[in-house]
Amino acid sequence: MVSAIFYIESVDKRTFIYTKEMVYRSEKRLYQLENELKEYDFVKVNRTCLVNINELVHIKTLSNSRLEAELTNGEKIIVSRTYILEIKRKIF
Amino acid sequence: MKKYIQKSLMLSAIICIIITLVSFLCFEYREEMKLNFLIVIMSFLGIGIHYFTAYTFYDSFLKELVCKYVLVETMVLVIGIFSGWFIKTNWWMSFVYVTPVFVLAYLLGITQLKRYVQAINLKLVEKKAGQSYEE
Repeated sequence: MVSAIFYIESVDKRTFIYTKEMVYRSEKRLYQLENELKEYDFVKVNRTCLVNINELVHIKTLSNSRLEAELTNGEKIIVSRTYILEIKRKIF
Repeated sequence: MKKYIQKSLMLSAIICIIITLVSFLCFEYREEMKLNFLIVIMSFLGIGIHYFTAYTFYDSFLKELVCKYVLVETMVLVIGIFSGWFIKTNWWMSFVYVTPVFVLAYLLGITQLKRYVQAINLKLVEKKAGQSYEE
């Protein structure tokens, strides 16, 4: 189930899919999954991470002007300022 | 008020570009046209630098800021020396020009970013409240 995915991350050209309890490795590259999940509620928050917006709690501005997204499982992910407008469009 | 100033500045930029372009096409080329064209080219390259550094150093704000400043400064220095804005011994003048523009652009960017984050968080709260109500 796509809705069970919290986020998808690319680390050293390997792609990992994080759900509430499990982490899966995908043979596909992040951009391929990004294309496949276009119709679902996924948005790129930085160049290596695709987040399910339904699992997003809030975005926080840190003191050094960095942005951090908190997910419903408590995990924190860095948000690139380049993608903030895209996130806004997807949420609205 | 901010939006009003932003829009009036945007309008002034459009007026400058259109007048220069029309004058260039209809009349003879004059030296002051070169300055306007160079500003347009520099803005184009500057936005490219902005996106490049934000994409490359997304995890380190300090690296992004330093790299952005160095690249913008180098660009202005190179274009400035070649187009005779300042002579080689007066190269430090480029810092006087670049720094205020850089700081102003940075402050405008931060203000807009905070607005986006506020709007996103508000929408997320609304969504969660809607979901709780449905449940």
